[in-house]
Amino acid sequence: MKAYFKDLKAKHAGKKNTYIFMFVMLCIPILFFCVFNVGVKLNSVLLSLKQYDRGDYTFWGFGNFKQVFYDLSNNYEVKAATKNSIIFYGVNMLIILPLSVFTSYFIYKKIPGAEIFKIMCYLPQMVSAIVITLMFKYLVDKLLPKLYVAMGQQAPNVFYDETKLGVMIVYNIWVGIGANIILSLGAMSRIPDQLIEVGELEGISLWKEFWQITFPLIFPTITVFIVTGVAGLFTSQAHVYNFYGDFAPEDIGTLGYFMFVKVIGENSTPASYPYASAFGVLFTLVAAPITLIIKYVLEKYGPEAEF
Amino acid sequence: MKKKTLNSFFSIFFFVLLILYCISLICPFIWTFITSLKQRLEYISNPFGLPKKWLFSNYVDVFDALSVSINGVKEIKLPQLFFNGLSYAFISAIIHVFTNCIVAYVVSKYPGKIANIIYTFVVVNMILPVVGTLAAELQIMNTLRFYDNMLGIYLMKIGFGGTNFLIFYATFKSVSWTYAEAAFVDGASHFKVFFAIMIPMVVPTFFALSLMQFITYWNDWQASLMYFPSTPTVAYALHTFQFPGAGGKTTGVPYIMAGCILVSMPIIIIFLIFRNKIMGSVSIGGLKG
Amino acid sequence: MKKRLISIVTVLILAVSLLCGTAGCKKNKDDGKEHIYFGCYEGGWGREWLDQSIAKFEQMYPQYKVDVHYAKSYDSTSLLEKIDMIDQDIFYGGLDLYSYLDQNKLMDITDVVTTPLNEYLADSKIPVTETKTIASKMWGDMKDYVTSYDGKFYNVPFGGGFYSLNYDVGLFDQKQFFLDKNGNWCSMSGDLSVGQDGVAGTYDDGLPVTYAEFLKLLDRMKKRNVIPFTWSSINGYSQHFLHACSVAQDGVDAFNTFKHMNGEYTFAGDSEPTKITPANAYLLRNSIGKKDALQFAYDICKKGYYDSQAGGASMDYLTAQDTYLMSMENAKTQKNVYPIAFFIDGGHWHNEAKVSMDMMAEMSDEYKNRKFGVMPFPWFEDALATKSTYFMSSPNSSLHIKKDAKQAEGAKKLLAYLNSDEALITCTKTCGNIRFMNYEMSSDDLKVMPYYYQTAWQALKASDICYNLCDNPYIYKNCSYFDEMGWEWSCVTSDGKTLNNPLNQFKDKSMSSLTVSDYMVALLNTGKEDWKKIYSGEN
Repeated sequence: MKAYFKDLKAKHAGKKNTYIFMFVMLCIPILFFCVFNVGVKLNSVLLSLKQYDRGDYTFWGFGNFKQVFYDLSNNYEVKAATKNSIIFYGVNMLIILPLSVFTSYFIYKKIPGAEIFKIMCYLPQMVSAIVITLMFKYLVDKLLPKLYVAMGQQAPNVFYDETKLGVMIVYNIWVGIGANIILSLGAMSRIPDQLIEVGELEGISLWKEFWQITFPLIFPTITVFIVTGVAGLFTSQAHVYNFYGDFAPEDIGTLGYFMFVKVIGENSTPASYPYASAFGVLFTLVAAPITLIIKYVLEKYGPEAEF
Repeated sequence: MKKKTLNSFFSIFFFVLLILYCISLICPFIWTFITSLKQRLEYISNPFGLPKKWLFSNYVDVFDALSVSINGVKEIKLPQLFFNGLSYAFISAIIHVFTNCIVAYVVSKYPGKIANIIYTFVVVNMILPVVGTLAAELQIMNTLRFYDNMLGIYLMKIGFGGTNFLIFYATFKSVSWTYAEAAFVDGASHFKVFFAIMIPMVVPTFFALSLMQFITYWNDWQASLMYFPSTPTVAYALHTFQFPGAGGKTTGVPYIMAGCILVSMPIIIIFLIFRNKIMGSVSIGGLKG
Repeated sequence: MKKRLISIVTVLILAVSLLCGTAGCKKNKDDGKEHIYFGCYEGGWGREWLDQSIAKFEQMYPQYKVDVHYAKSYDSTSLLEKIDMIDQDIFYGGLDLYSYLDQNKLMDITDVVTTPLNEYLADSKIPVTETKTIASKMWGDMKDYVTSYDGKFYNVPFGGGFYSLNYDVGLFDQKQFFLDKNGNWCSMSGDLSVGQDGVAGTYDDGLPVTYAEFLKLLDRMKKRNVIPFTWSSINGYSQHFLHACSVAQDGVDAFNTFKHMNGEYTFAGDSEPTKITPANAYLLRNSIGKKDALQFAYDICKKGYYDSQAGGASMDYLTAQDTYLMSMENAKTQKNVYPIAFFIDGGHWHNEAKVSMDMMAEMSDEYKNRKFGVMPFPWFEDALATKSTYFMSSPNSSLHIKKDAKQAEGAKKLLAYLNSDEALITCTKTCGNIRFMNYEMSSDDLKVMPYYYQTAWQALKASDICYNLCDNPYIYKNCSYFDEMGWEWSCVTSDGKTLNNPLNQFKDKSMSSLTVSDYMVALLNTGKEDWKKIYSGEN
């Protein structure tokens, strides 16, 4: 940060003109940032302390929070959503992220067909989620029961019976692999060639090269993925809304889905805004320290790379 | 770098895995395309085989049938939906990327307290997740009359932060300031330096990010649902299209699949044309710094 | 080169956007006529009923031109928000009447409804002879409801979906699923039993009367490689279907006790009747009919009397209809595929499936003139009903004119004509469905209708009909609760699980321990909770 404190005067002629320029360039973006970023967040906190009563929001203290705590321990849907959010977060961090990084690595190493792999893996990111969802839904809902029957088992109602969580996990992995590919590739491509050439001269395998050279060097980028990913634990809908709209079976939703439907769903009303906001505020209080701890741990104990 | 040969169990295993994964990605598209050419009853009796008759006419029909009805009394047809989607994605992308470009430029090239505060804000914003603000956002939008108002929606894109900001920040950091100094000596204003010298230098990044942002907005079917229901986009239309209305001739799974292909085609074409721009510019320029 | 490519693509995108934008605008031609704008929900009733009547209306009143806007969805609440800003004068769709009237958005049409039609339409170029008023034709409780606000008329009830066991007559005939007078299985040409109405020569001849007979039929189906049931992923249809089953057991008297929240009901296991009042009407969530309908769903699911795709995510109602219709053909050509006997959906399904039926008729001659029929719900042993009883959904569907309609006069004339006997008959003839009005169809009229709608007409004329509306404010103020989700099957179990569709829940393996009595307990407990809001007027 210190690096940024430099004397403006030395760099730019005319202090007044500089300030005018900065003012003109920044005033509108900062205004909107204040309203739609800072303002929205503050409003969220305020809203969480209010209740809706015949067209008006009135101060209610911690009533919404009480309800949230009550639901977290008693409401089946919220409990299931909490469980599912943790499952999907785990899948994201332990399966999707490693697969995504490995895939990027292979593309970066220009294995045979790398160019095609690159395009293919990016396909689910490029095409609208609604298209991918529809394709997957119609195909799997037809195909999977046939496979069950072929194996002599009773065909399930894929997206409603006990199979649903498994199918949603597979779907998330399936579309998620390409998600970080552009930034991972970016991080890898800035590794200086001479570092790799050393490895190549020694004839080490791809596997070893990855762990010894590439991984430590791209670790800062991976840190970014992991750190920003914590919020996903509380915000990710894990594509549930895409598949089910407002009416997902209650044991498949995530916390992100639950909050979204409370605000956007067909049966939502302004009366549910404070409750949803209280959920958000509470989760922020949980997510923020987790994020900071993870960041701290990764920075302290992760591999160090200088180049 | 040399092309790499596969020389270990791990690499061969993962290579095979990748091939299988790619097949799993391409198969649904092929199935979707084939299904989109079937007659609707044929889809019931033969969901996985080739169509007896290849009904390309389904695409003509779906062009007419893909629509969104608003308040039950106004029907938005496909051309208008395409227009809504295009204008939303195009204008939003330009505004969003341009704002990030300006702010990142000032922050990277005019260091000082203000720049420092902004940079810190952006980083904190990325690291500290504040979740569940949708309700609060909608409430503010309603107060400002931005809800369901395209002008308001576009104004809201004047935000900065996130990876786009960081990418621009890094890009500007790597651009030499020598040209600017020379221009200042010649009496150029700060605005002239920015628009005439600096912007042209980051055109590839600007273009790549705009394109990626365009794709994101084009695909974002929930935006219409959340913020501007009266101006549905084509992606949102596809979401509603899966719930059939009355049993007309142009309903059924083959038509939904044709809709999928219609909606994704423009993006696939744009991506294939510009893929090196997107994947090259962002990765190389983006994270240097 | 690259720069040029980029600019070309940008220009192209802009050009396409502009072209698309202008193509989206259409303007009406100036034909010297006064235009009446009609906003019409295009549901399972299709368009023909309205198109034909409008053609006639335009002959009667050549000075008018009716522009219909068909919409696939119709949301009463969002229409209310925007109604001042849109062109339409007259609407057909679901109506939350009281919220429109509270905001003074509907035109008073008492004169249209209470003037004899020949007088009201006296200026027609084609003379109108009908001397009845529209009000005199409305179903009793419907009329009480629509006038309950201030005694005036602001809308005319339209029509909803009726629920029965929709069955494939051809398949029943071919597989000998009918019962003869001696209780033996036979084809349609056999000496058929008289059915639930006890009268020979009617629509229910040869069909099971009791649930025990019905179970035997299902068992026979399974033995003869026929799958009894399929249904779509749309919960509403399965919910209404099972509710109809429950209503058919309880009968119209018990239904009216519930609807007016006034009367007595003897619950299962009780020796004395319970007095039903608005304070305790939720108890009827545990009526005998509810228990029987749950048992019905339980048996279908636990005994595997359903198609493997039933209720699946990709089974939207049209795909479900197609699956049902095509099962006959697929059974012939594919292994492990069997014909399906019953299809769970509202009565509009047959009209909705017309396109598919036409396609199948082109496929093979044997699918020309396929017959489907309406079967009354069989009675459980403890059923209270003594007459076949059918349930109709969507009681709030209606025709209405907005308060400041630009073409008020024309819209009122059109509304009057659409409720004349002639238009009512045209409606039923073209789409088979029945309006919430008293009118007669001649045998000639009936002959042109598909067999399914002939049986439906007979069934409804000869039976008791139940629908969730009357002048009871607890009912009409909570219309969506009673008719959509809510009252019928939505509830929460003691361990917090939400149940909403017995047909899906009983076949879900992850809920394999759920029993009928668990469901009943959940219905009652949740009903009691819901009632706190409904009875206190919070909802």
